[in-house]
Amino acid sequence: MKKLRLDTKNKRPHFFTDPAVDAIMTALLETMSENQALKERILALEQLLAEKSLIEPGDVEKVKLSEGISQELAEEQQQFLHDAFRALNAPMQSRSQRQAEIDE
Amino acid sequence: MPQPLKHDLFMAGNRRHQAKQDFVSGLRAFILNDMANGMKSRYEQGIAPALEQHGQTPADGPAVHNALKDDLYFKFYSSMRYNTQEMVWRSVQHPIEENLDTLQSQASKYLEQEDSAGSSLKLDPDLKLPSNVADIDVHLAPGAYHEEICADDVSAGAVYDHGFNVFSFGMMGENHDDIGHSMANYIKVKFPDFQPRDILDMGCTIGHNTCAWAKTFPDARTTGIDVAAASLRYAHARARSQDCPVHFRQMDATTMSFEDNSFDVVFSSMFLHELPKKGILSTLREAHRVLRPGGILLNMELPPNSELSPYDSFYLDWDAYYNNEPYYKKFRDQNFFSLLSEAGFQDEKHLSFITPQYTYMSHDDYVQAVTSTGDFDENTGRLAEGVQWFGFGSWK
Ligand SMILES: C[S@@+](CC[C@H](N)C(=O)[O-])C[C@H]1O[C@@H](n2cnc3c(N)ncnc32)[C@H](O)[C@@H]1O
Repeated sequence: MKKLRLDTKNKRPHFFTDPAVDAIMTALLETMSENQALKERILALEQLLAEKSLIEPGDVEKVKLSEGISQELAEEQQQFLHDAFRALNAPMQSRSQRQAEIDE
Repeated sequence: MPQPLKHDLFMAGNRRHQAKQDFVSGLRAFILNDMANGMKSRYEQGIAPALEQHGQTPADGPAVHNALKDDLYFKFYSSMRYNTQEMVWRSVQHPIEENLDTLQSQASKYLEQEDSAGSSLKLDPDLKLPSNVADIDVHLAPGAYHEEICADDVSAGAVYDHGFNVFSFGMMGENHDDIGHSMANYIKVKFPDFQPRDILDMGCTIGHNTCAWAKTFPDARTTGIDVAAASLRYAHARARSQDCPVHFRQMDATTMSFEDNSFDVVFSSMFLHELPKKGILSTLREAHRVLRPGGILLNMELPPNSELSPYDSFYLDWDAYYNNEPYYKKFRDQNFFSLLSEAGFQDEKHLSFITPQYTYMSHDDYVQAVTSTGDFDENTGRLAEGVQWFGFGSWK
């Protein structure tokens, strides 16, 4: 496949004091757009199932998740939250402190 | 929300591409409406009054910029706007890349048709691209208007058209032609006896606004010029697919090869601000040369800073600093009428005006609106709810 150039030639300005925040913002907005696309797809699937008379409109709202699936979801959520917020729980040190320790 | 474009070169992309484009468009609408309002009230209610107390009221755009640059809201606004601009292009580049063969063969159906009295394309392979196009990814579009990746490439035009669709969240008319319609109809309504025979659009890119002139004045011969071949090929195919008669020429507006006195209307939109000052003057001089006596030069542009409050100047100038529009502020800092006079137009023949968007009202309401003279306000040239367009130029 022929490729279009996706990156611009200019240097990227960073607006936050730490450019890492800008990089995170990029990843965050991309993730949000991917999330929206997934949500849209699920809604499309629901509509399709309803149109094929496999489910009635509104059925999804009424579905009660089985015990097993509920539990799996709850566990996954906890795992996700740990993953997402791991930076908050981990003890931190500055980069220079780390370097000093190694150089000691 | 971006709407499907109403011509044959529209490449919808798959469900995921479309959902992401919708998201980017909605995100832009949120940033340019809600966040922009939030940033403004933060400035007006907190930052400006605090500076005023120390006798340091920001007097112009750069002073407002300085006052805001460390504010967290400004940082979020800027970072999100910058990212979203990149996402505009990426969100359409992916599907265009995937559908490149279809796009090219769709375009070639039109490109291979014979020239006709109303429609033709002439490219100039020897034309040297000016550095304002060749060296800058203008408004953060990788490849800008001209970069080519295959023979008879139209992809840059397609990226512009589809990207514009995401960018403008449905506010620029059915086929992005609202500016052209608003400007052409302004002339038609205000000067009913003026019957142009030859119309020129300089820096026409994909001919979206050129087509609006051809439709508004169907008896005239309409020509669009640009330096970017990839955009012009796309423009030509796009116009043909809509049965819109336009002649496209690859030509540099600063040194046009038309004879003197060839046109009754020389038009440009969102064009002058992308040229360095020298290029602006040469272009205006060339426009004067190719216009017939009694003809009109008309430029749709962003309003000059002298007409705007310091905050609104800052707000529009954001693009100069962060959206790869290096000439945008310098252009808007100038006196537009002085530029016209310097280029040979007479002071007493200059005009400038504000027009509402033609596409979103009935013709009668439009006539009503432009006959009561509009004024600059914070929405002039600003893509958000209530936008109105600014035009200036001169009769010859
Ligand atoms: C922002 S676009 C104009 C868009 C269009 N007129 C509209 O109304 O949306 C600027 C265009 O000017 C073209 N351009 C830049 N310098 C030029 C020059 N010296 N002569 C002709 N076209 C030029 C670029 O290739 C690009 O297509």
